[in-house]
Amino acid sequence: MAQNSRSGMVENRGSSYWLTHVGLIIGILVIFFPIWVAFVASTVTQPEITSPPMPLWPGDRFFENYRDALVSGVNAPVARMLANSLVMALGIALGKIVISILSAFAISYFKFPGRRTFFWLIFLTLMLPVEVRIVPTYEVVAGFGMLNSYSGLIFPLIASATATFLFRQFFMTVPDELAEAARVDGARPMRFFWDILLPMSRTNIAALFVILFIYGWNQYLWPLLITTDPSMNTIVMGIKQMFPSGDDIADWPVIMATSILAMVPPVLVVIFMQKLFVRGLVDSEK
Amino acid sequence: MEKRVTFKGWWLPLLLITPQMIVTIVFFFYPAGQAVWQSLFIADPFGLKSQFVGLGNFEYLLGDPYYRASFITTAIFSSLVTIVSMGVALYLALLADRLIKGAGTYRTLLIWPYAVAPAVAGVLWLFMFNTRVGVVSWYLGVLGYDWNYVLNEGEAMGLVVVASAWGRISYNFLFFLAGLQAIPKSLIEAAAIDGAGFWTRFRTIVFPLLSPTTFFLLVVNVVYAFFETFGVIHTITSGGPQQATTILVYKVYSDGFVGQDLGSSSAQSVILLIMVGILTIIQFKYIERKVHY
Amino acid sequence: MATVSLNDIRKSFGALEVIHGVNIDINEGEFIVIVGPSGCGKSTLLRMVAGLETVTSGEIQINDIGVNHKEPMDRNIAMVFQNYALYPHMSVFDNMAYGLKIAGTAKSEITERVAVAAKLLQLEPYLKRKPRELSGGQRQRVAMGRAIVRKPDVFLFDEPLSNLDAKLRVQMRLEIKGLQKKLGITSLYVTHDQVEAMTLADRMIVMNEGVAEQIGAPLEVYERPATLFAAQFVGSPSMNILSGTAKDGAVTLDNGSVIETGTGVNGAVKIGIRPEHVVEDANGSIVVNSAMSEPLGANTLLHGHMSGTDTEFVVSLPGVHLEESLGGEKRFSAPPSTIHLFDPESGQRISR
Repeated sequence: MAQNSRSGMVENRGSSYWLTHVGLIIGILVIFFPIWVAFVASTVTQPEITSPPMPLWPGDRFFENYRDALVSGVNAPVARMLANSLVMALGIALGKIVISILSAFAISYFKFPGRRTFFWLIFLTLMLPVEVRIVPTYEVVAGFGMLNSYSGLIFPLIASATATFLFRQFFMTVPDELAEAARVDGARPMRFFWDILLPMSRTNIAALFVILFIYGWNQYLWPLLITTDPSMNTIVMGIKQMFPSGDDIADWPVIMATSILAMVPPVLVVIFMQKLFVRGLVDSEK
Repeated sequence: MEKRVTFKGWWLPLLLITPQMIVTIVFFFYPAGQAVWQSLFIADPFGLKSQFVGLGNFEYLLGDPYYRASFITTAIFSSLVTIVSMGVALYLALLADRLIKGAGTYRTLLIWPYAVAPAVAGVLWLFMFNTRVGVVSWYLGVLGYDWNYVLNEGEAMGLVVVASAWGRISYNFLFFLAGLQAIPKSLIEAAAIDGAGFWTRFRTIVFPLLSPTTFFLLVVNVVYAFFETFGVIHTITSGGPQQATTILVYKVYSDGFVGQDLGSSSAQSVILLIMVGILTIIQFKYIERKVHY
Repeated sequence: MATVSLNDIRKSFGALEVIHGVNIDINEGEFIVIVGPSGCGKSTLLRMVAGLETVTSGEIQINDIGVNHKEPMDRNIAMVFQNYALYPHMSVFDNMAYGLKIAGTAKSEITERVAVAAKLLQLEPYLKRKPRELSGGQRQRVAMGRAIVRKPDVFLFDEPLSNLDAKLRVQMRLEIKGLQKKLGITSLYVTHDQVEAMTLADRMIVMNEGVAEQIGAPLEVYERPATLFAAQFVGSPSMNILSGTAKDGAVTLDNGSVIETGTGVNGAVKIGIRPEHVVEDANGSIVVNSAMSEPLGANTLLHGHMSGTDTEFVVSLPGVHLEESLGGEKRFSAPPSTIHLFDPESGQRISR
């Protein structure tokens, strides 16, 4: 990111300085309010919620509620759902990275028949999110017997080629001389890839991992469609299913605890890898 | 733009692209092709036979009042989501950009919501505005306003718009901030010396220089509002009340999976496909993100 | 130690021929410099020897074995690139060891060879550092070290000093020359800098637009340039070229001056006189209107025109000459033996 601070900014003194901070703080409070409310709800008792107004300060049922959620949940233990989400998110992130970096290497450093066709084919995949092809993709997945399975959750979501493009753009910036020096040194293509290209791509891979992990974790429509067995629910799609049909009252503390748990891993990933993540986002749209 | 150096051989690269080719063909092109194919048929209710109707499904859709309504709903919904999320983000970015230090801290704090799934955002806002237990609904009731998004179409739309825009603010904020920080401060200072006040400077310098970012975000946000907001709608209103919040992608789902009308759902997918295609082409052409071959 | 032969080497990109037949037999241990302006094809030629570009026609032989179809790694060559091409994430040691590692050399031998090269290039304190922590000159040495440890038959250099500042260039130039003499490895060196070429080469290939205008020892090219291009390319400041008509051992210039050449050529010619071969002569037939002088300390350059024309003429006078004594019309002469004659159509040298 460009300069993070501006020295001697015009008009930034006195009252307008404080107003700026106040404005930002208000913005932050407004944005965090829903999360705060949810957190509070996850720490109080059900009656406290069902007879409004709910208190706006956390209660003392933190451990009980979260334990209930993790161990029994409503229709499946939330711990199980967390595990499913983890497998799915990691599968999508790693799966996509692996097949993309190999393809990007192939189209950047080799000339082979069909290269041009392949390039435009995967270019087309940039245009269609999974939501547009849900019905037939469902049929394909069902045909493979992959309903209610991790592979069914993962494969359709690694089919688009965004990562391939990003890696290709990066490879284009790697100096040609490096590959030539490696060639002269006697490195065959895969050796060059493993010893030299891959280490140089480390930051790109990490940034992409962050984005893909979050993308995978937050999937909703697709897991909704292909999981009918509650034990295969992912946490993000499973929350809605914790709501009862009809007029029954929802188990709010557990639902809210689940919501908080659903947010934690992606938020942690964002915070700890913030620099990489921001760079990845901004670069990926170039 | 091509690399000058290439390795010899053709079987290795073909091998390397095979995994991607397989996954993309099986899980992308084949289903996409199927969607187009199925849009030309009507399946009978028992799924035993299907009848070729050519563009019949499309004709029906274009005349169907429900589908048209969904179109309008989607237009309204996406516009509102885009305007709200970009407006708030721009405002916050302008504030953060004025800071000497601390912009980084605010950025860290404002980034979090990006990680929240739209569906989870839906649950959060649903909880606050729930007719029975929602905190905000209760306080609204105290103020004399009878909040009921389950019955009131406008309120339902408002709620899903806010829930959808909320998570997006972080993403837009990041880009706006980056765009603002890329504007050379010498330009701003020169204008200030020339006597331009904040709003004049904004209108004549900042906003024009920010326009590539703005345009880019516009397209991205519209695409987001079209597709990724499914989770919000499904969670909060299930498209109701009376389909007041049934956006196009939601209709594809409800007609296809709930209503089991494969032909119509596929036709709707094809229409969406075309719309996204156009949006993507616009994005590539005008934002000059040139993909060289 | 190896011989290298280029037999009628041609290169085309599509329908465009860029190298038009180059022939040279390089002896063991010889230092050959390929010199020419940008775009003349010198890098392409080098890369063909390296195996990084294919040969359209003709044969390249190393030690009398044709290598046209061999991969770079099978030709036993090593290359030093213009931008050093060091692997950024590896230490200096690993950079130098990489080629040997791939070849499966024993670890002990790798360590020994790298140590020897490091000592030779004064890189011992830097073995653990990464390339980004090194200065330009140090990186260049690492690139050379990487080439040396391979003990190749041929060294290839692709404008290795272009990215260094002037002073460093002079120093590195001498180091390279000393190194090559010591190791005795046949070397091909590409540069656009004719000073580098003059100092480093045992023989030079002067290239222009894909043609080898002259192949010979530096002094030979200096004293007996084979073409107009070679004549003007080598030597700084460039040789003065004048048009005129030759007859009976003298050339009459366009402005009427007559210059003794002592040759029996007749007809239209171009004559070349180096700035440093001209001497002040009150009765000389070279009349110059000088406009500007450049005092360089060791010598003084006088820039002007042949009187009566607007043909430029440069004179190099040894030592310091004061401003006042220059300017206006001055007369010079040049010994006939220092005057070169060229055919005005073909640019070829007219021998005497």
